[in-house]
Amino acid sequence: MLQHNLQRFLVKTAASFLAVCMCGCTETIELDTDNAKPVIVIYGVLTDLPSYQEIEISSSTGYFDNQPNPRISDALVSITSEDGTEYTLTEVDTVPGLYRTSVLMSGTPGKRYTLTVKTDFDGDGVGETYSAEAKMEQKIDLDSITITTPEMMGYKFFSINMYAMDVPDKSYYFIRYQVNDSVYNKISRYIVFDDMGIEEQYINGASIGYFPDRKEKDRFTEEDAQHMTFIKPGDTIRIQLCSISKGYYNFLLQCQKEIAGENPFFGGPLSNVTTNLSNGAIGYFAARTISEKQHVAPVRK
Amino acid sequence: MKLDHFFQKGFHSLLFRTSTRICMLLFVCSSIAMAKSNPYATPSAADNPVNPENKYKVSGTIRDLKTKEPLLSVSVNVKELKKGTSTDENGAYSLSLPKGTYTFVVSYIGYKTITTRVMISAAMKRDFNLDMDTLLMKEVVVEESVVFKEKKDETVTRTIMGVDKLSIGEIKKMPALMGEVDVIKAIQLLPGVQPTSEGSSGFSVRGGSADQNLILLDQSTVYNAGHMFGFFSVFNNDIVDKVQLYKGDLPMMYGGRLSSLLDVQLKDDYTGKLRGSGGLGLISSRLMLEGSLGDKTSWVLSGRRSYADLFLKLSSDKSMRESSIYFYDLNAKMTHRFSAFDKLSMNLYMGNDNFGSSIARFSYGNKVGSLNWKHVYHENLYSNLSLHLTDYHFLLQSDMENAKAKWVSNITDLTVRWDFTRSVNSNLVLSYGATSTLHRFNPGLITQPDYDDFRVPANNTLEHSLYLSAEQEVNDKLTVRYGLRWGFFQNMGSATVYTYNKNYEAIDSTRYGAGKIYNTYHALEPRVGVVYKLTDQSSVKANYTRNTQFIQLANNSSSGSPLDLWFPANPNIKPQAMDMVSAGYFQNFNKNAIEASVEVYYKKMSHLIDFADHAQLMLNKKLDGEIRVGNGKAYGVELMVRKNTGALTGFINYTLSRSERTIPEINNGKTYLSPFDKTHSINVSVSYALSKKWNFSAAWVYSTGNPTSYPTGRFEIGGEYFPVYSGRNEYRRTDYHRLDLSVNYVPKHDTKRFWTGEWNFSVYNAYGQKNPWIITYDQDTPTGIPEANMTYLFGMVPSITYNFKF
Repeated sequence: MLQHNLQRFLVKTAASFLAVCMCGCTETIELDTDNAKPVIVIYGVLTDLPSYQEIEISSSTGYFDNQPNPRISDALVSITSEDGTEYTLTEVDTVPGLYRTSVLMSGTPGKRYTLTVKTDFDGDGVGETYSAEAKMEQKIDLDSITITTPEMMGYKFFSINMYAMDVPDKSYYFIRYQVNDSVYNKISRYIVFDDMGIEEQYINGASIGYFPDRKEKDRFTEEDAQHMTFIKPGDTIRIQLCSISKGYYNFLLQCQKEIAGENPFFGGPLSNVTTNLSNGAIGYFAARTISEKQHVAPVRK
Repeated sequence: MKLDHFFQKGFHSLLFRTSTRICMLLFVCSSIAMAKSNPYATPSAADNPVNPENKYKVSGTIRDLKTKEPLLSVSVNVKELKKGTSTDENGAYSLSLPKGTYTFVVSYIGYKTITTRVMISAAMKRDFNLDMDTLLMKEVVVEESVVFKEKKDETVTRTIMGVDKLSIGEIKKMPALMGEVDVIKAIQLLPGVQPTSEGSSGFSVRGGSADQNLILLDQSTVYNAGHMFGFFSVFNNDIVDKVQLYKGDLPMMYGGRLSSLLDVQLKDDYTGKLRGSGGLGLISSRLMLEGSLGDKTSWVLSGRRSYADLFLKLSSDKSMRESSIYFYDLNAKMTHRFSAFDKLSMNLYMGNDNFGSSIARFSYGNKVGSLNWKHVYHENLYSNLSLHLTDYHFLLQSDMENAKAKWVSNITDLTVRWDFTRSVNSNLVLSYGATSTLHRFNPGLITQPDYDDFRVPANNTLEHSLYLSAEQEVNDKLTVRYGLRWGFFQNMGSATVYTYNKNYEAIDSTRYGAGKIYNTYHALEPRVGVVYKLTDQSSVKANYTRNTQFIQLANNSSSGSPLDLWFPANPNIKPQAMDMVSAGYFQNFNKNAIEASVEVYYKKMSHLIDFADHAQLMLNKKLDGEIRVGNGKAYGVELMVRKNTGALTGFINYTLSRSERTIPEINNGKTYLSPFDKTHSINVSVSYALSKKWNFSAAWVYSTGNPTSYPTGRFEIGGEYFPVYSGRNEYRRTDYHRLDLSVNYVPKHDTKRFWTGEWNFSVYNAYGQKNPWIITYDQDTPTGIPEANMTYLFGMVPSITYNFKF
């Protein structure tokens, strides 16, 4: 995995060292920006587990708008597999803008799926059609995970390590994790990586993340702690290793990069996150195959 | 949790707390020292034939009486004819005079003027030794600055345009960030030059990007001129002799970059008794020693090291004790004069930055070495043959459990160059020569304990040039310079070259064996300059120049980074080219004491490179697929007024400019501003010598804010907001301005003392302007609605430095 993360990690480390010498300060400012015309935002990720597959539809707004983004109701949404089976998604009564298949559905690795959304977004009385295609990649089986308890720079951590065989062909992954009952399902919390440097090799206990010990939470500022996940001995950690397409991998990385704005040393010019939707819509329609394992955080020796 | 996020947030906070401790140690400081030297031996006299106009050539060398160093830019005037010249870098002058007896006036600031009668009846050689006039020496530093003063009316007479020189004396008096006197920060005050970001030693010339500048240290290329992520430059001011910046119109002997040449020349050829200089600052300490072995060999050694990390060892915290953060520079130069005709010099430079902890290490640095042989064939022909080796490397290493890995990368150049200068007659000087460089780019080798090595294949290329240039005085008023440079670039195996489709996806590849030349580019670069002297003190100039760039940097960050990956032109990437026309009016006042100029330029760039949105530039075997090519243009007006003599010296300049790019696949093909576009820019740098003991300096800079992109919309996924942009660089940050102040105090001013100490107190950003460095967005707000945060790097930064010389 890990060059990709490693590369970024080292870069971050270096940047942190930099923080050591410069006494930079941050303050909140008002930016006077134009508000672009709203566009339709469509997002959904099909899985290979039998479930009610979901698509969310909303509208973009001005960046600093103080209202949540409007949800788009009453759209006609369907997913068609390459063999022609069509699944209709209907809006969930209690959650506007969330559409679900009415039957349990699971994607099949290697197959392509087409999403079609029909709605009159621009309000001109004529409906528009937005579509996207997603391919479900081959599944990679997670053999196991382990949790070790390293201490670094005077801090105690739990390291979650994965064991799996990388498949032939260039492959792209992300990991979603869960601590006890809390699922960390925000894009900014995903661990996104490709197989550069480990192609077709056995991933032999590579660390996917270092989680600080809950006992030491007080050592971090409240603001920093917000972005961190703390673990204590006895916690059950569950991880989902998901195989995804190159396009969705790029989408996730771009979302993670763009969410925070400028990065002076290692970021490029700020740019729009790519999309695979047609007709001017933004967002993404993707598919993922899931392999899950769990482990209990050990008592520190 | 993501590694990435962890380091971003977790470690930041870890380090930040320790960082505040270090910050306290890191205030301030530095610089000044001595410099004085001069290039090499004189072409000595040979018999001089009578020329057709019955004029005879009088030539000779002018040296310092005590040190015997040749002096540059000494003026030699013939009173009766109101004719004169000045010495070149070898202290040599030559005049053609009809038979007769004349009064020669040899004068030089800081030296006693010699007035003498000379009878001329045949070609002759006449040397002068000037004695230093100690009464005139106002300040230690003045002595240095005058030595490097250009020919007094040079701004009016030289044919090259857009060239700025700064003397090291002048630079040392300028206020400096944390007291670290820095030649690159100084040139950023020149018209048309901007730092790429706050505090950075990267610079943009006339709207170009940082990799379009050729930086030479005694003719050897320096790929990354920054320490500490660019906040300090690699040039140790103790050993720097002279700094010249050519803003596009490069001397014919150089090429390979579109925007500029920064020519940093080191001290040389000091043959007096051992002397030294140095300084103690809070960032670094420096020591320079120079001396001679006999009267034919001179040497100079200098070193600089930052030492904040030494305090880490005193920390009670174990992880702090295991950490390191420092940089150093070492320079060594030795020159031996075999005879008046042959001089050999050797120059070595090594610098490195290290950031380390128990879990990670990051280090990078330059190594430069050169051998240089100057030979005088006869009075009118001399040559310079040199061999240069340059290496830039970086290393990133993780020692974290279950994530151990190491990434090394470097670029190595081996260059041979042979340059000739020939004076055909007193009105025509020819320069010609050839260069050849082998570049080896090694983007990265990653090793990790449990896995196979991962390597991005190295690139080998050859870059050659042949040039011929003539400078011709057509008559008293008109001088022209014209020439042609032939650049020629070859890609060499072993290599795998991919072919890309319209979507920049690799569809095919071709493998070339080791040593196989698989692609060649030629570039002809004509350059022409004209100077027409309106009066003795004013001139108009015009020129045209074409530059080609074959290698470039894969970096699209705003501040640059030490992770410098250069990549060459190849079958997929054509060389970048620039055509520039410029014109100017130059007027000196008050016997050249005040220089004023107006220059306008227009440049057009073709095959200009930028990178795709979200380009993956690191460790990418298919880097070519991330490159987008288009055109660029830049134009502007630069006004400069400069006062060189008297108690109050300095300059004020104003630039009005624009720089833009049009690249079909970027910004939907719409023209966008270069990230370095600044509409207005004003720089003021003044220095006032109150007495021998006190000198006050101030610098004020103002410029339009950098172009940037602000989000005009957002979309939401899973409760998180992501930005939507309407286009690239459509907004600007707030305007940038800053005042820096410094005071030099020499407690005991006596040139006869063995030791002279000097204190420098300076304040960077004296009125604490909060200039935005980056704009970031945070949505962990009470309302959940994102807000913008501005980070500024420096508040008011005071510093103190003690400098000495002996």
